[in-house]
Amino acid sequence: MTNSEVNATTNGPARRLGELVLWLAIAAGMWGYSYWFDVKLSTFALGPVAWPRAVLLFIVAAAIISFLMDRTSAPEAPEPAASDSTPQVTTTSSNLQLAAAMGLPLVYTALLPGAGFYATTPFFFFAYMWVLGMRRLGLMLAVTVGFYVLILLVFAKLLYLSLPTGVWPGFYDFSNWLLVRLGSM
Amino acid sequence: MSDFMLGLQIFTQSPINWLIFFGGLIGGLVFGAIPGLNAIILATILLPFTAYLQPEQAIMLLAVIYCSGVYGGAVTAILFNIPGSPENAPTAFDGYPMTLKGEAGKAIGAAVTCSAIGGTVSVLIMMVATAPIAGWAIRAFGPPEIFALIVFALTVSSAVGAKDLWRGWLSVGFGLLIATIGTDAAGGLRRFDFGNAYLGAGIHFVPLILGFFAVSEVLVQSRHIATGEYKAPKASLDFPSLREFWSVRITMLRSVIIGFFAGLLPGIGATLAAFLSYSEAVRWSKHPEKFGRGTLEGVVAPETANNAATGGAMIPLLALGLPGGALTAVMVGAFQIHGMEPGPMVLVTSKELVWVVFVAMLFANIAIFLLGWLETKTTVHLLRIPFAVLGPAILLVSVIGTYALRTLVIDVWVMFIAGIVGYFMRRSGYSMAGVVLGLILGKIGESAWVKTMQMVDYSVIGLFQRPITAFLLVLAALSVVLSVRSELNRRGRSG
Repeated sequence: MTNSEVNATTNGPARRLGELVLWLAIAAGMWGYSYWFDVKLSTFALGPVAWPRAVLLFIVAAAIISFLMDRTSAPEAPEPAASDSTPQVTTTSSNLQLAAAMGLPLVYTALLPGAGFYATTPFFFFAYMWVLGMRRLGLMLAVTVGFYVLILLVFAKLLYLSLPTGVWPGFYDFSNWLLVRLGSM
Repeated sequence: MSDFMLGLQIFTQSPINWLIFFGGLIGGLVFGAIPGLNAIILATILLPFTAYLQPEQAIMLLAVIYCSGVYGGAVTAILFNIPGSPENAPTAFDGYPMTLKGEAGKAIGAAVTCSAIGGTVSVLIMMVATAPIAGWAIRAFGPPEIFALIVFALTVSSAVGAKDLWRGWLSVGFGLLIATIGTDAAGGLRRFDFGNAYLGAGIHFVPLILGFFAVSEVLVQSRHIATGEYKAPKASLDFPSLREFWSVRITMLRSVIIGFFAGLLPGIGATLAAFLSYSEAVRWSKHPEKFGRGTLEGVVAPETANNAATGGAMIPLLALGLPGGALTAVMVGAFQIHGMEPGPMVLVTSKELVWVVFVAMLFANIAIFLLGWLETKTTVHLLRIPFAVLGPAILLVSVIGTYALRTLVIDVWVMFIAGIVGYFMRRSGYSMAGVVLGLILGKIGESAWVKTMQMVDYSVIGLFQRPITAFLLVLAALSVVLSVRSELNRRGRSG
């Protein structure tokens, strides 16, 4: 983690409590679930639950210590105001941009089984460049095509990697057509 | 010496040998650098074809792939926070922060040089001491010692990259918890599978590593772009100076020893070697607080150790017929394809084969240095590409690497979800290095713990009746006490 990331940490009381509650909830949930596999083993007297429960106890202890230490330590100095050279603007648009950066890969992954890798990848690449702020359409198209061709040559033609072809009509046919053209099928 | 000359003569007399050597070298570098692919996959793909080669050519090919594959993943770990293979994961802890500071050339230069030095020294030791060292290591290091070693490594390096010690512990705990998902080490029972077959088989660590490192990094940089904080890393071509190398000589020496001995132990190999070596570098450093923020020692330690492990791993294979890891197990397959069994008799009956392999491994490590030097001067320029292009490219290579692993789209889901979780954890001061440390060492640690408990009849006192185990556990306890004291002092000063 870089210093800027550490500094970016907001450490309010609500957040600290939220962190503690989250860790305790994870630990309680997992501990509860561990009863599903709490069986006696003839090969190992301590059973399959001993190790995970020891880990959960460790997490609970570390979370409580972390919370108490954060409470007793002096409040951290507020983050310095952003200078002109490093404008730090957290606006609705920047939040939307970050949400898109997180959401787009999930949409892409959801489309992979149906539409396949070959049909979706150029659109994902192009869209992600847009999300990251690139606006020169000609360059974006050229880079997308170039990277797509590179991926096809290296992973499909040279290494014969099996990538999702999709199952939806049209998409599956396109993937097959492309792979036949590349000599990978 | 005469044995070495014999190996050298056989190696150099055939152009086919040179072809196989360079093919293995480049193949290992490429497969090592692509996430999700690794030297083991390449070796496995090539195994059936080794039947058409002479026995010494077959084993030589696999040995060269082993050497270059271990180094290959360091470059992507340093430049893009994408460890090509798990043994390169600790290289990213400091290598990538060095890139962000504009010291990518130095980081890659150090990785290349240290990989070559670590590999070369371990091959030289292998040449002179194969039989006696193998016998000692196998006798002295059982599961209790390995368990104690892992506990020690976790206590020493748990705070690396975290905002404070407690968040470091939580990061390691989270990694250890993820490692418990899937079948248990003792009875093969499914744990935390929530009725899901995928979880029942356990989450593979490659999607998790790529998610926690590469995807979370893209998201962090995306936030920087969105808020106007983004600063492109400088593409520096500076090689570390001799003075800088001299300043890390002790770290290098220590890492060679750790890597070599970790390589000797069956089931440990290059990955644990790299993590242990990194932990030790933190422990012995005068400035442990610099680790995780981009210090040269943080690159030198794992890269020296993981290559030093390659020579070490060949010793039990050749001297005792015990493969220490997946790639040496593939080599056993190559021996068997040619109607041979590795073991003590190989050193007597197939001396030529053994020495050709030794010579090829020595040359491979020297070649890594030369090729790596060229790589330093060329690959660093990738940093000149705008992040708007680099970001989606990193995500796509990670998707391909993850999917290629087991052809499961769910692995891609796991990778992206790990990336998002990793992003929020980083924002809150948790350490991705800690999570990955717990994840990798958790599985090995639990397996060693189960065997240990059975060996000592479930008595903790039994652990302390083994001198090496007791020593390591006492060191681990001391490390915890010192870390807590140092953290409290730090808080006292800042308060």
